[in-house]
Amino acid sequence: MNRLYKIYSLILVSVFCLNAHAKLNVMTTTTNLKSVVESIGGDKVHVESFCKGTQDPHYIEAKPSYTLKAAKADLLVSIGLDLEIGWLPLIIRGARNPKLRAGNVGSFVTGEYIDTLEKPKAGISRAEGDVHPEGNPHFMLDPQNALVVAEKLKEKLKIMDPENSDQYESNFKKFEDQLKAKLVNWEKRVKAGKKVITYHKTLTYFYHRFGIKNVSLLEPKPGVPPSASHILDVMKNAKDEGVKLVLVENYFDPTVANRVARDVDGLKVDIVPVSVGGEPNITNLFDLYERLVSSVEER
Amino acid sequence: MKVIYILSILLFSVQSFAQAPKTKSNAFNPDIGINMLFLDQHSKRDKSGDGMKLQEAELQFSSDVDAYFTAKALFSVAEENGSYGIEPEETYVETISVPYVTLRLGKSKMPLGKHNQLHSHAFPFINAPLINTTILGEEGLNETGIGVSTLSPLPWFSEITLDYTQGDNADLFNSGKKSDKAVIGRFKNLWDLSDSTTLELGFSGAKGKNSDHLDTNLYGADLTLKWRPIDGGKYHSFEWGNEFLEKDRKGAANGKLSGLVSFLKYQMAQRWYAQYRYDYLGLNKSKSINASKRHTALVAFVPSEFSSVRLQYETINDGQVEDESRVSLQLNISIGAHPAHAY
Repeated sequence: MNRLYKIYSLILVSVFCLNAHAKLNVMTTTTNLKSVVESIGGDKVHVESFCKGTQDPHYIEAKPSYTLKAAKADLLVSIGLDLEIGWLPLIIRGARNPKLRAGNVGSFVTGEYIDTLEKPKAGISRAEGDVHPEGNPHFMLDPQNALVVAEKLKEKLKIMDPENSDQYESNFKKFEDQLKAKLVNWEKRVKAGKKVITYHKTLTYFYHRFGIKNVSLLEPKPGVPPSASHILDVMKNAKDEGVKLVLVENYFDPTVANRVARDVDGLKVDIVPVSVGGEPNITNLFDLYERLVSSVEER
Repeated sequence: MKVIYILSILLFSVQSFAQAPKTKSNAFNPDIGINMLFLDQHSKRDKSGDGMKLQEAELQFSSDVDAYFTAKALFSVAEENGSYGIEPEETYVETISVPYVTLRLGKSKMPLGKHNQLHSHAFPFINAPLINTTILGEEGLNETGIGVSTLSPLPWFSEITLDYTQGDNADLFNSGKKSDKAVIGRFKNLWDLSDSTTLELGFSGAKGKNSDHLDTNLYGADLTLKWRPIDGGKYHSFEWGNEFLEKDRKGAANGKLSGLVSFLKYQMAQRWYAQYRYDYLGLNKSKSINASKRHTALVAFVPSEFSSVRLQYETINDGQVEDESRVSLQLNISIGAHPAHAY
């Protein structure tokens, strides 16, 4: 048993090696966050996302291979607002990389910098479905929020890697200019007041930015699949309000949306990506916003 | 003395990575969660456990202690021999500021195979496999001591866990001499075969002295295949789990016993699961103990992550004149903070 203790202490004391690395190793929870890190970090960072573009980030499983990636990460960029609470804590615990714990140097929780929408009133409960106590976490779908995150990320990268500060600044400037220019174009193309129906509340921030009115949700409550009576209500709403478009986020089953569209004249269904990589040609955030804008614009 | 030695190595080696956030006073309250399992059971042969009952309630508390430790306590409330009792199922702390390794101190479920580490509300079926209840006991292998776990340097996910414990398990250990300890270890490997499929292979073992002052050795192996597609993963998935367990308890007449379990869990739709399990106990041909074979079928409706209704049918052939069969209906709910289940 004495030998076992000596082995234990040897392991503990000898593992503290500081490794010099050329690139910052960044892990993000979603592909949208990965896109921002790529834009600001450029070739000075190596970045990967746990969640893929076609997966619902609420519900992915904490696969042990994710733990391996987190073990090697210098920085973990997450949404927060309880979006990843079902799996991220397990990954951080398994990684045994204390830097990544919330509040520590390697943790960047982007939701902390955002003014969230749909903050529930007092007395929140799960009877209302899968609700988030601090507001809707899908804020990356508003290009202005992406800009806020990009700026905070730039500051974070400058602190972690001061040698490349200038590069991060110039990358950010390029991203900012590009985004602002595209935003002007996008705002011209979307008609404010356009009425739509959506499956889940993922697109709230996108609608808010472009003045789109979400008339109904196919989910009676967040996380609850549509019931027959609720579908009838949605159809009635669609007819009354003259809705022409149903958007279904690509990780949901479009069967219900198709059924509603069959019964309502002129109603079209579009299965939309809500994350970079959600469709093969969506390789960055600009592609994603462009895809969403072309879905809602009048042609 | 030795515990102090380990702890001082820990604390002197640790760098603090923490920056304290500003919060309100009750923000330091632990996360609290409660699981409740309600059961209605009907058996053909042994009716002693039949009827409607609270199968178990689990009270979970977890919180960071300080910059060095996080703590978890899980108390189980269940009926035994006609009266309810509350027992500490797991009460332990884990280090959070030590890189590369996790040290766990306290009372916890031992890493012997996969199923032994699960709490009742997380069982894939309403009851545990035969190898677990027969070889490890109704409560499983649960010990007090110190455990260390780390990721091995192999290029795939490979985790080594070693526990040094008091060895209190009544049948397997519990030699009566407090200096006799039990050691339990597990070597867990997991590969991503693709973005949607994973394969886990684990080997476990345990060794300690029993009440006859002789060795008890345990050997286990587990193999699990899981599939959840990247597209439409909300609606379909499956898991195929297998475990083998053998005990070699020297000194007892039937001290050598081994068996296996194999189960399939298929997600048919967003909220529906169909499952089947096969248990076999008695791989060593013992003359005085009959081999047991059990078939279990289960259908589950899972309205949300926090509730499920499960209907299970099992038949047991254990060499008696009449086979046992049982129908069980379980309602499994949780409220409050609910830490994620291990993969």
